[in-house]
Amino acid sequence: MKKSKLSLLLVLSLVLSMFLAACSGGTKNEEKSKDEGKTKTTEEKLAADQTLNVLESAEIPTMDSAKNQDTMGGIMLNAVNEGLFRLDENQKIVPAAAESMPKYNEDKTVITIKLRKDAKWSNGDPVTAHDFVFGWQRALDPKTASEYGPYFMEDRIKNASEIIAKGEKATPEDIKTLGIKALDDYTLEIDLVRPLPYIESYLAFYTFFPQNQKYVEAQGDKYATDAAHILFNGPFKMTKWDGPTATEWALEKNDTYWNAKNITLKKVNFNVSKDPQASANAFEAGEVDVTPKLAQAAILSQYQGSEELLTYTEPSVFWLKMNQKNPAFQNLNIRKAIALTVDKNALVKDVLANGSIAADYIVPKEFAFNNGKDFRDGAATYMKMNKEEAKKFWEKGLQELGQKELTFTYVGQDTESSKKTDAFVKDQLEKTLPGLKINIESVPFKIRIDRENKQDYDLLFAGWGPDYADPMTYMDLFLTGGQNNRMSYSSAKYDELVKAAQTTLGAKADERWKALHDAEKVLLEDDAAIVPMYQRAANILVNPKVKGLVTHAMSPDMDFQHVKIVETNK
Amino acid sequence: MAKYLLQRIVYMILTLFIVASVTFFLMKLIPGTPFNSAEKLTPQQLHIMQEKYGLNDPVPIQYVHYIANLVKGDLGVSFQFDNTPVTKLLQIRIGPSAVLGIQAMILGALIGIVLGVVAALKQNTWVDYGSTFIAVVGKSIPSFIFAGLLQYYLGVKLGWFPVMFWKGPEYTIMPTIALAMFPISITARFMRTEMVEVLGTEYITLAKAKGASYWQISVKHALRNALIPVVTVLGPLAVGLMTGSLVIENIFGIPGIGEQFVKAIMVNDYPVIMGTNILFAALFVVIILVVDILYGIIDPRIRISGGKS
Amino acid sequence: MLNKETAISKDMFAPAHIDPSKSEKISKPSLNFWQDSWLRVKKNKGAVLSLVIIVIVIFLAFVGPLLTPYKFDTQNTKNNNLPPRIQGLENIHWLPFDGTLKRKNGTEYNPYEIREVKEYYWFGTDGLGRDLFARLWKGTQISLFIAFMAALVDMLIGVTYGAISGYLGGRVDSVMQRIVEIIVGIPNLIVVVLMILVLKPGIVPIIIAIALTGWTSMARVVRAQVLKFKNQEFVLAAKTLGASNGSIIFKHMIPNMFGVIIINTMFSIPNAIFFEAFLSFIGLGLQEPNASLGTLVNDGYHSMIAFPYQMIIPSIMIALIMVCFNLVADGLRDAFDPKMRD
Repeated sequence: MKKSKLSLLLVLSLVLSMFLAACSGGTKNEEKSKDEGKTKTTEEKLAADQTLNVLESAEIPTMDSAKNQDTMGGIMLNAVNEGLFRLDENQKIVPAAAESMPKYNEDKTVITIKLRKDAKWSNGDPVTAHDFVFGWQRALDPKTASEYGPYFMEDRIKNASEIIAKGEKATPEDIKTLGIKALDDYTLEIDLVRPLPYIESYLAFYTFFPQNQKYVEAQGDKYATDAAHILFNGPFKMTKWDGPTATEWALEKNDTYWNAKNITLKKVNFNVSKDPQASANAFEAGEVDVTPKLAQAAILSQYQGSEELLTYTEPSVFWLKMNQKNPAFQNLNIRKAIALTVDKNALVKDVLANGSIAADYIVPKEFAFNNGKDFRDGAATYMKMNKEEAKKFWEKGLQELGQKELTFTYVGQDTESSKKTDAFVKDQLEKTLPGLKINIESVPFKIRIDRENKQDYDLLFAGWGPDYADPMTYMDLFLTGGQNNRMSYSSAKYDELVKAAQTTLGAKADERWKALHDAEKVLLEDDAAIVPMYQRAANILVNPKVKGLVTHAMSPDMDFQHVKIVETNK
Repeated sequence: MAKYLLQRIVYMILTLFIVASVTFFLMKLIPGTPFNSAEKLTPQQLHIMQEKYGLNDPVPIQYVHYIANLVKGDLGVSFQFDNTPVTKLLQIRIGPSAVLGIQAMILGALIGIVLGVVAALKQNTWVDYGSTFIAVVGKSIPSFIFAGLLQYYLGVKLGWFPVMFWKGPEYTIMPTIALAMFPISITARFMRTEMVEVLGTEYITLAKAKGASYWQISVKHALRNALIPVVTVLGPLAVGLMTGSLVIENIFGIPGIGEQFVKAIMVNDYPVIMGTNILFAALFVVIILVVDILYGIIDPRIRISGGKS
Repeated sequence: MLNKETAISKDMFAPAHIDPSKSEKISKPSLNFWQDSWLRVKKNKGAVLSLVIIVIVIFLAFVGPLLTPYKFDTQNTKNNNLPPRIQGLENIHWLPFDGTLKRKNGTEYNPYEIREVKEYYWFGTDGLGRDLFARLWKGTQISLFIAFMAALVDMLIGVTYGAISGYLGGRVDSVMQRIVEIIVGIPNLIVVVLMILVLKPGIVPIIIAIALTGWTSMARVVRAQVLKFKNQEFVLAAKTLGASNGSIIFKHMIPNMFGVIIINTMFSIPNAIFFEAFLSFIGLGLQEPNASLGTLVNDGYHSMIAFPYQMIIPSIMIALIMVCFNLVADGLRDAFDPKMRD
């Protein structure tokens, strides 16, 4: 009977520990967490162990720069590979594989770029202009089935649209007509359809990275499927990665990188954690130095004022779309009423409580610059909350519609912070505007996209992150019939301003800026077509011993090459 | 026996085939595309993508293609993980889930059997209520709460176990405990019922009358007989545990199959949904068959037809 | 069970007086099935206590929201994330109702004082400043509703299906059983996502999804029972008397398996509550601003460390309901099972 007694003991101890865990959660146990009296060292001493442990929230779907479209993939590609340009720690575009900044022709449609001669692939080959030509062609080739290649090149790079139109039937000769040429091994010429003021930020993006033709073709299907089948030309090399499902991978310093002498970090270990609370726990236990972005207000509230919390504003803006297929939203007064109602400050301060900023605009702050001047400087903000005004507009609108009550279907997303925001917006609207009823429907992301496409909603909460560093990535969304409009909004004036900025004003920065400012005003104030809510802030926890971790507004979201691990007297 | 087996196997394949078919059509009813940036693509660009993966064909044709490939053992490639073969995804992810499931099953069954037996022997006393309570309460706290508390107090505060990840045996302890709560309660409940029933039968009364000791009765006679039906419950339960738990895998950062499956459903990764579903269903029917056969072998009432000495 | 060795002498025995008229006397009072079962349930104190608790919880689920001045969906973001504070108990520090919270470094603070809030929130407030006392009872109400409805649908489909399958037997039975196997093989989540799509997201698709995937175990149990009864005398007698199949199944067999059916239903209620909680965890739960125990626990999970009360209170409620239903079900099983009659 010894056996059963033993297992009984096991049960008891298990249960006991379980109860202990539950109880200490319930009663207020006096647990003194170690007093972290950190006195700042004035002089930073490098730690002996230059290893960084990073927690990410997702796997790497692919390491093929032509096919990637994922944030995580973007960070990793930027760490192990390098395009013509890169974002530095001050968010400036600086030469990387290029030797200097590009030269433009008169009307800014032809660009010539000289490449540096000391850049090498990890197999010893030099990085040449041909690698860029191949990388671009491969990204566009319908056989590659890249989503971003066509998305970024169509209507921008010469002949891209023609190749896409041919679809599967495009021959290799067709693809060679794409507007990128190697004039010699180290000189690249790029032909654009029209001047693109944001082309430099494009050229830092992973879809436009070089690929070594010989290597890629030799690997065939195996290319970029795991760490052993990738070539590196960036600051790090990937030493461990079993492929797209791996939840663990590692980077090590690339000694053959042209700028290797300025890289201090020796190794970066990555692990995946999909649960924010668990990520914070792992950070608390000291198992990781950097967490993924944490959005939960309750988790963040624990770190308020702590030097471990790193908060930075992202260029993602979230807004409420009003579907003008619904006759009620064809009424300007109704739209204005909705736009003026929501207390965005309470939303960002109390509900989200993660450093996000209330937005009365759609082109975000600290994102697009013209001669060093932020697009938002000098631009107005529109439709600040005013509940009294809102009520007046609402009653006028109802009168015009001949209705006493309106019921709207509000499509939101199924994430925790989205649900909270939706509940808040509903409450604000229903409380302020008499006779308004809102039914929230929270659905998974893919389904939200589908309902947006089919315009199967009255109100829809959506957001947009930029694809390149220019206001246009936001402003062209609401063109009449535009593919991202999806709310039947149409304004001749808005179209005219945005189209002018896209074409005739392409080379005239100041006037273009002005046109975009005006277009934003038409969209938000004159037409009250959408209701911007907030510009999101990202929050990550970083161990104070980590210095020089750089975050960017766009891909790559994070850059490890400037990181140094310093000694802390802990 | 051979004929019976053959018949069962034919039924199994038929069941699997229908499960696969029904899932295929249900899955296709969920709107949206499997592409990650579909909202950014122009209709023409989207068309090219769909053409490439044969998604422009009518659903019945896609179905025929899928089944044809399935028969050849080709489960297709994943959309979210850049063309990685589904078989590879399954192979990599089933391991940790299976290890965890088996460990939790063993731990859960042992504890559950003890709790159940104790409860039955002391039926309707505080011991009974206590052990039932323990068995039930473990399952009554939602697993993400239980796992979260376990992680925070045993991992972060006390530092007894690693907080998360999957790097060695010590990393499996907390997730195993968290996952074992369910089998504990199921096993304990079944064990108690069976045990109570067995204790009421004539042969136990006979054994008592013959003067067998308390331990002899409860263990040698009652436990052995009560275990048989319990074992049959454990089979399907084990499959459920091995196919992974999204909650446990997410919280403890385990590269398991449960998390992958739920995500695949959320992002319309059709081949991964189908592949995982077929794998789960196959595991299930095979285990049911094995249990049925085992049942025939271990149940003395079925095995011994000629009478006992 | 104790074997006492005492000397027994012959003179301790006397012949019994046999009264033939009393040999047929029924010494115990005559009881019908329900009275008998009730008597036996009563003996199981755990089950009785659980039953009482369930009744109280159900009562409070309806009355609770009326006890506070706050509605379950009234937001006041200025008063968000306030810990529990109850009049009179606020100065007793060892009780968790003094309105204080703890920071990460262990220092205690009183957000009521810092933010100069006069109100008393008995169970605190959530991230949007909604009263958790009202939300808890509202959530209990909705969770129980979902669970009871799902269990009811389970019961209707499961009993009918199982009875028909078992009674008709043969080829029909084997086809119907294969169908069950197939349904078990289809992932629940796909069905749930589809339901949420086809019907608008909300309570109804959740109930339907839970019921659609949950009735199979009931069907299996009922089928087994029917198979057992099929050749018993009372069924044969009914058949001989010309009763139709329908009336044999529904009038004769099903009343005989009420016990089994009720027990199974009792188990499916907590399962439904839990499944709803899981749906909340993956974001497919109830729609805001409605609350269920699942959504409350899920919201609380992320506040586990900072605002533990948001997790603990709904967790206790969910655990309480689960434990009670399970204990009652166990008690009922013991009571209904004729083999356990003493």
